[in-house]
Amino acid sequence: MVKQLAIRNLKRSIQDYRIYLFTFTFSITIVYLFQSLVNQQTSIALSQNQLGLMNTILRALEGVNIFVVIAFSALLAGANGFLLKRRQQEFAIYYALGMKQHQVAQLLALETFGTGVIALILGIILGVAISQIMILMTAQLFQTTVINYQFLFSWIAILKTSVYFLIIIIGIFLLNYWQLKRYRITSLLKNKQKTYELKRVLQQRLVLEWSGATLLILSGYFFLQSTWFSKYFFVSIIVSLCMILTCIWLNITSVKLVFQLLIRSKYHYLKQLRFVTIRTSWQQINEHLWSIVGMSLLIVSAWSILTLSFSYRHTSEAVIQTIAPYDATIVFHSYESDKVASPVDLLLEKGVDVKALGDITMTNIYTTETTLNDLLAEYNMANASLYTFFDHGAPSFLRVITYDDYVNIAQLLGIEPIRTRGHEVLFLTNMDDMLPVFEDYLQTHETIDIDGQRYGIREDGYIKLGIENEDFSRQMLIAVVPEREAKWPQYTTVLNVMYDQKKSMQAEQLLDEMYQTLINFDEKQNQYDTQYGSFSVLTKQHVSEQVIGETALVVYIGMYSSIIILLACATLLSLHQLTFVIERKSEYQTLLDIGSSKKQMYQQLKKQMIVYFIVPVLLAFPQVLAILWLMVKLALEIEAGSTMISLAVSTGIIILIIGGYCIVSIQSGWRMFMKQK
Amino acid sequence: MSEILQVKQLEKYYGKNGVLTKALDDVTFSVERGEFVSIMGPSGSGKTTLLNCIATFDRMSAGDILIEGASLANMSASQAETFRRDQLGFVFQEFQLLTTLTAFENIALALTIQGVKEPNVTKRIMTIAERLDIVGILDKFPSQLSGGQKQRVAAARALVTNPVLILADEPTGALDSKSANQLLETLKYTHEQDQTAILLVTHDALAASYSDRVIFIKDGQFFNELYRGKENRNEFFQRIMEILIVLGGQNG
Repeated sequence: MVKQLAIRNLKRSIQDYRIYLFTFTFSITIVYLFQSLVNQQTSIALSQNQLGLMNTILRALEGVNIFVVIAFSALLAGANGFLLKRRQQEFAIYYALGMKQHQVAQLLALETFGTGVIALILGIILGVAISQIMILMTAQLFQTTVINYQFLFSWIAILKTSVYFLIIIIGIFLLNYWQLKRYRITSLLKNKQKTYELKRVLQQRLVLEWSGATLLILSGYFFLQSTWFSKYFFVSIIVSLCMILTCIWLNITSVKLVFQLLIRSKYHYLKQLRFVTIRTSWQQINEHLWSIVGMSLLIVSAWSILTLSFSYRHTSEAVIQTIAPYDATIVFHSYESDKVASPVDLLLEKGVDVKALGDITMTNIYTTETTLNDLLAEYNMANASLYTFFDHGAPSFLRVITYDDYVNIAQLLGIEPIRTRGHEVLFLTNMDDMLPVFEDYLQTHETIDIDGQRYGIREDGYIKLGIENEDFSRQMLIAVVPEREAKWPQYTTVLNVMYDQKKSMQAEQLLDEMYQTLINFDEKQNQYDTQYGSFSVLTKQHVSEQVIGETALVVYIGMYSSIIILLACATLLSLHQLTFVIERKSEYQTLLDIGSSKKQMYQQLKKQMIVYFIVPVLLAFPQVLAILWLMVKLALEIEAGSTMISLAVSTGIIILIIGGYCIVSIQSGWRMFMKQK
Repeated sequence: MSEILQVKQLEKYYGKNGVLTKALDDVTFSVERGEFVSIMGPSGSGKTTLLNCIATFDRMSAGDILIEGASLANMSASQAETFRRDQLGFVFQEFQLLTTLTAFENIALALTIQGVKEPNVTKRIMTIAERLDIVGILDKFPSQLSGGQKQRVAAARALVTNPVLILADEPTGALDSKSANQLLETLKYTHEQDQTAILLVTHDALAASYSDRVIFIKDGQFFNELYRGKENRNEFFQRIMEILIVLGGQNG
């Protein structure tokens, strides 16, 4: 009997709460998809480096999985709690009819596991299907192609996903059972008809609150903009936290104020059934205000993570050319400051004929005793992101190259070198953020003091140019001084290579072998060590693979965590709505009884749901813009232009997920109402 | 006086697969314009089914219902919605007010569904509110009102659209006697002022005694009818009670 009852209940709940099943299924699909990444490696053309990065992604995703499982557990337990609350009376009747507690537990277990197993099967089928497409996305992210395509079906991913979700299902069952045991029959049987008490909020008070919160946020912003930000770091953290709390306050006040203003605008308010939509939405939002504000903050995080991860990708592609302008860079780190042997000759001894690879330049890098803090500390405030770079425990010293070496570099890259006169210096950097700092400096300075020696600064002599390949932009500042002035210790020599077109494949292969030897910690590592110093190598190909791999990592983790957050929010919003429809069915019925048409009713339900779904998204939007603006200002790898495109893409994804849930909720809500009519 | 409602050989069955329950069997009667008619009968006699068929909430199985000459038998669902909106007013036992709306907005609901625009909405609400003495409670929510006040708001919602027929299903069922009398006086006054026809389904003889005519039904069939004529309310009440004794069974 219990089995039949469970099957009947299961059918009913699947029909009524397809949102719950949909979320359960989709959660499983997402987890499966990211678990199955490991199997995609065999089908995509990945280099040795990219394989290493892929493994890093997989390890990182393992970590993210813990967060995902916790998030899904909370989400599904919360969603299930809603369903259980709805069925309180039903359980009371079971008890009243003489059903034993273990029978009710059995019923609950069958239902929970039934739903779980259905979701698991559907989720994995969907996951297997989507993973066939996802392989293309992975190939695209790694900027490579699909080779050796085979149908992707990962038993390990299925096993892991099943284990994760079985744990969640058992957890949900135990939680439900514990909740059920706490109920008393009398309280369960009592018909809890909700009465809604709407507090009137004084408009003047709201306007004051809203203005106060806005003023506080603006004050906080100006404080963080000021030099106080760096001087009193702890105070800044407190101010930032206060700003976040004020944002929450502003969110709450904004919602209240907007609804109060809508209610006051009598003329528009009484048009059609608009006032019903406004009042009902306000009632629902007021009831779940904290929950909605919480969800808006979650949406802010998901939206920002998505945008920034896409933006990071976009930026990274553009950044490769800036940070790795040469086909290859070989750096010789000398043990002594006196040059005793040519790195070119030393390499030749190791079997690498650099000159045969193509055009090369050799640049000596001198290290001064002048720190960047000494030079630019008071200007770095204009750009807070550089603050940590200037002095992060160990001081950053100004590095110097000679003018002749600069000219060689410029010629190698095919650009016109800037001419200097006499005692003038030029400055080079590959960091965009350095430009405004130095421009600030130039407004008040025509000369610069390096280790007690004063130099004139060439007008417009501030160039965005890297003197070697880097795996991320970190050449803070390189001074170009006249040849005769370079008297500082010199430990580093950089050999930049532009491959001969005809031999580029062999050149890349040779340097890649050198690179692999140097980065693998085995006995061969010392192969390129000499008695004078050691070598390191970085080709453009390596940088490109590194950047693309890092990007893939960021995009994957960004997408994974954001989609999960969005799913959680959308599901909760949807369950709030469906529960509301059930609780208020008699009121909707009244609308029909007094002459409202079905079409008007459907429109009413639709508008109310759209408002409820849209409020947290609208609350989130200005905060996302603020975060992005801050990131563009602060983060090295984020650019405004690419961020706007990424914002558009991530907004599309938000609309797709939240909108999709909204549409399904409208359909389910309407069906539930019509069924119960 | 012309007939505003005609119920002709109305039949309503429930059930399927050959097992049918007859809820209404050959019921025929009519209501004149501006007439106040009560329908009484024991539990399960078919009173509410009859009201639901007239209100187009339920479809009839056979016979016909004509309101202002328009037949409900062949009306589509959409036509029924329009008809209900424009011609009928409803007062329910449990008031059926929307708890999220103020009294004003609850009344405005009926008008906005019809597409009436401001400032007509406010003007018409104020007129009916003055008549029903609810001006002072218009900005209150249902949870802040007494049962009697709620029912007067519900009555205002039914009357504000000037319907040709008001259908009231046990409107005094959830009220104390004082509030019930107040409401019935109000309905009676409105009916006399505007010549609005009222069809009241009730098990309360006192409520029925406010009407011009009482129709009794039993087991889904027409049983008897009483005209008030020139009698006062007490006399009419006594006659209703006599019929109820003959009718027997539990009223409700």
